[in-house]
Amino acid sequence: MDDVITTLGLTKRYAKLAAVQDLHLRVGAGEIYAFLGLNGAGKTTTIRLLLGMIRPTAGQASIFGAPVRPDAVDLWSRVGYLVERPSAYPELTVRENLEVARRLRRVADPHAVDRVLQRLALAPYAENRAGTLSTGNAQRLGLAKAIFHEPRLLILDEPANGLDPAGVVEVRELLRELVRDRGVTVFMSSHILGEVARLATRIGIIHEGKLIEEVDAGELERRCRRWLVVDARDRRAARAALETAGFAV
Amino acid sequence: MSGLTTALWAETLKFRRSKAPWLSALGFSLFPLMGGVFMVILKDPEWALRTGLISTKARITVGTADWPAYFGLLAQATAAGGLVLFGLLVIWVFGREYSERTGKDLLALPASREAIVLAKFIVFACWAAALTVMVFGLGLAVGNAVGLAGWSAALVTNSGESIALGAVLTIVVVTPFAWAACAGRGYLPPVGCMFLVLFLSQVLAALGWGAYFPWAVPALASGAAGPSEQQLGAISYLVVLLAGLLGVAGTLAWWRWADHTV
Repeated sequence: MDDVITTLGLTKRYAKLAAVQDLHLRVGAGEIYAFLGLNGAGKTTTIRLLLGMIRPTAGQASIFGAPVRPDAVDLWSRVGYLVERPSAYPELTVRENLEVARRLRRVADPHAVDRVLQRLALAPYAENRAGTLSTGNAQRLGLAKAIFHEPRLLILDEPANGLDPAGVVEVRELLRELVRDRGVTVFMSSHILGEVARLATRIGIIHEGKLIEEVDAGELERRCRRWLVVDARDRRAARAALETAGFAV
Repeated sequence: MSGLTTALWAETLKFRRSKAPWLSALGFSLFPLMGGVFMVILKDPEWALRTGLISTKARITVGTADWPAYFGLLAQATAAGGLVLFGLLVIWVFGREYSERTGKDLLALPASREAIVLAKFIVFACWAAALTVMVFGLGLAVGNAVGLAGWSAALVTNSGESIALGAVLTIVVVTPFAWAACAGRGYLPPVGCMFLVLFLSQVLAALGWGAYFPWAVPALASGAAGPSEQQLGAISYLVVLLAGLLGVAGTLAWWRWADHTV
């Protein structure tokens, strides 16, 4: 499998704070790689490093075999991204925001905007100003900007943020479809294991800037222990009843 | 340059759909209108006093109500007031990407960051030039309505050149505020810088060093400190040019090399 993302000893320090430390990553073509960690673990910093938005203190990152540099303009035409919470020009309509993105991304097909509006259920809001969108629809617009140019690699920072449960499922299905039908590679961050476990083919766990573990989806399934917290006024009696019924307590 | 045309299209659309063109045009239209009010007062101070336009304590009744005085007022207002209005405009053009957190969407594109920065500067400079033309045109209309004396084609040409020179110098010297907007990631730090620079300009001009301070040069060139100060040397234009180059190069370098965390 060809590596789409490679990082070698990628490190970012801010004064004494090591936001990302000695990160070695390999993400293959067609994978959905989930980067899991608590808030402040270094997920967004890693994503910014991968997109050339910040410069590493040490190490390097490559995408499609090319080193990540701020001036790698040819590289970025194959990458779609969403970093932190989505943003849009509030005085422009949803359609105009996408039109700006279409031109800056040099997508020749003007119908690309209509297609992505349909795909992300944004068509009813196409002529609304972006500043009036709900959090969920603003997130959809952010996703639309990330995918409308049919990138080969999607780098998404918490893509389900702000979406309602139905929206979360829609996004999950959308990403699955992009990977299955178009061979897109997805690198996504999240702080919710349950969200990524249903989607990712591989999960990297980052804590305090360090990649502490990588597991594939099957391994994660094996390791997961399913348990339920039950409380009762008479805990002893409850325990006895559950054990009698055959549950491990 | 990669993507300059598309970046120009995008920046023009963003600018056109915002409130900035209307607010800046409103701000600039005050110069000729206020100048017109002064001319009315100078033309007939007794009438202005009778109608309550000025109070008995007013000290703006010294001078003449004619075209040379009116054009002089417009030139000074464009250069001195322009520093604030053009400054706010360039700060808005760059600072909004941080304030609205949209800058991150411009950093990893097939259009280069340099193209986006240059497109922003071009849109700003074009609109600033358009505002200057508007001030001059509105000035002609207001002066004509007031019925000022002393009109001549040569005066119009010379005054037009003087206002244009002041505007160009101001457009050049406000470019470092764009850098401050990027480095300060928003509006407040560059606005603070702008008022600090404005204060220093006043102090240094009063001390006689204004010709060497880039941000004081446009006002001096417009005759704000008297006709003798209008004869600025090459060094004054050189410091303005250096400030402009510093502003553009600093902004380009910031977009190219700085860590973008907003």
